[in-house]
Amino acid sequence: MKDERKKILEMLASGKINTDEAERLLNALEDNLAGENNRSGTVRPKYLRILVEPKAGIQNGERVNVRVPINLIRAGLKWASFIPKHSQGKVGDALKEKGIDLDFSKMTPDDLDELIVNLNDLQVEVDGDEVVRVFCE
Amino acid sequence: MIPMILQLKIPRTGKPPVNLYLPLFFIWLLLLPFALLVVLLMLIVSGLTWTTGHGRTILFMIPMIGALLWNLGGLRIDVKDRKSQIYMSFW
Repeated sequence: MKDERKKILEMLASGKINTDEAERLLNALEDNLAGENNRSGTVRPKYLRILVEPKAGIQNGERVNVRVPINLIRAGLKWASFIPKHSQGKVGDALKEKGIDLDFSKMTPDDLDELIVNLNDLQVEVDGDEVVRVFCE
Repeated sequence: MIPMILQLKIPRTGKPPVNLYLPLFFIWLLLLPFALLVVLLMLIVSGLTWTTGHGRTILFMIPMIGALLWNLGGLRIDVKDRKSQIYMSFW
């Protein structure tokens, strides 16, 4: 994939393709790779995807498409251990108020793996106007 | 892998958005001497504050900052509504 990406960027640099075409090719390349991973079923997910789309029939709604590398989440979770003890309590209380009983500072890589497995394809409908999908790929 | 290119889309009214490809590899090269200096400074501060307990924290921060930057590749944020759009993608 690295070579193919490099070729696309070289074509862009040499002016053979324009930026829109380069973007389409890069997206197609990534989608292709994601499809291959899903088919094999053995490859660990690389990205956490969050999609927010308006419900069918609703036009001009908000759209969100976020793709976060799992390794970035792993790296980010380690920073939670730097939150001062007294602040950890406040964060924990605030999360509990919202119904989330979770202590990020005690979360281990194994916990994250378990979360990813269980987060196979979560779909939430919000206020009937938007559909939120959270899944790994 | 550390991102080499940052793609930004700048929306324009009534026209298709402008695609900007920023060469991050060039920015990393420019920042490298500064980053090395910061790492050196952090190591010195870590050594000086080791007895207070903060030194260990500062020492662990060095690889954690590196891990964050290294794993930025692949991050894509695309938010749009009727009026505006925010798009950034790290390649």
